[in-house]
Amino acid sequence: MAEPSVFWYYNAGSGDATAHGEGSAANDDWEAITVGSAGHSLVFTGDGVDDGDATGERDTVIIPAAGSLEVDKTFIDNGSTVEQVPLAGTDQGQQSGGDNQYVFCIYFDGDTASAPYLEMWDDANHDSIALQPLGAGTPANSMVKGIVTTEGAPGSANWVGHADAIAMAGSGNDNRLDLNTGSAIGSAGDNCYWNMCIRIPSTSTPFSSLPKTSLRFTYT
Amino acid sequence: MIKKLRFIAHYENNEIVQGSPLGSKDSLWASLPDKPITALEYLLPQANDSIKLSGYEEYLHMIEAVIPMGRNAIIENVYLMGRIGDKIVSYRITILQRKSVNRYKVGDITVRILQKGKEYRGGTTSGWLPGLKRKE
Repeated sequence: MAEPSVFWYYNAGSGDATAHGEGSAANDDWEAITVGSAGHSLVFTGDGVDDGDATGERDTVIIPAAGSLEVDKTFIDNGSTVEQVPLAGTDQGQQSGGDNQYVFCIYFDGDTASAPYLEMWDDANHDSIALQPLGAGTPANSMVKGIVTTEGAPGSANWVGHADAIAMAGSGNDNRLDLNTGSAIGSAGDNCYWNMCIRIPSTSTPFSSLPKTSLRFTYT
Repeated sequence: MIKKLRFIAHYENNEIVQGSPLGSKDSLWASLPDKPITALEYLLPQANDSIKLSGYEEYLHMIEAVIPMGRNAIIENVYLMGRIGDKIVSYRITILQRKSVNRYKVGDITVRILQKGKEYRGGTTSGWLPGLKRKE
């Protein structure tokens, strides 16, 4: 098995009915998350940012007095504009989040040697989780919540409370997304899906962070 | 330096087959001859150094990569594994040295003995090739 090519996508539409087609091309509402020196980035930000706003546009979120608050909206910043991912997150956000299966996608065009995982790290060194949104060293306290939806929708519009939801930080078994439910990708290639959001607890202090969302995989 | 890193599969009658340099799209592991491997060697970054596994029932050469969203793939480690029964000996060769952690340097080898089915981060692996286990 040679190194598989990997393609990242987000669903820019508001309907959850359409899976990404098999193959490396963007299709239907699925837009590519481009790789490279001008690579795209994932943005969680406040309600004042709208789909199609200029790159770098961000808005604040007020830390709640009690409980936790989901960051309002999710975007892909493509270096020219910010493009909304309307289905991201849960029904506690300010977009169309909820019991959605087709939100983010990674397509492998060939097989892997083990199960692929999605992880959150401070930066591309992949060796620390000290940032406040990643739990400041305590993975269970990570504000980044994720759930794998490769096999189906979460089953709950407020899926952060679902047993399969993960507080994402580092590479520990309990704090990474197992994108293909413990199995390697087969030789025909496959799509893996997930949803994610950020929940800010009342105990948080103000922050603006740039953690990395990273795919870990193997091949022979 | 990375262009030197590759596996060498050894067979009976002193036959060897070299893999492609690390970083190639295809290491050629899946294209090895359909016959038992007598030993699996890997050329290390240190001059004239290599690691060589022999005496196993099966062998695996595996590359671990990480892709940050919007970035290109980074190779972090290479694994050589050998299986005897339900035990797997895993040799992890560090390829990417962390900026903030000095524990593992490029070329360092971490050896673990693991249960079959839990040999990579608690999960199973595929791509194993048969070995020729010599009688003791």
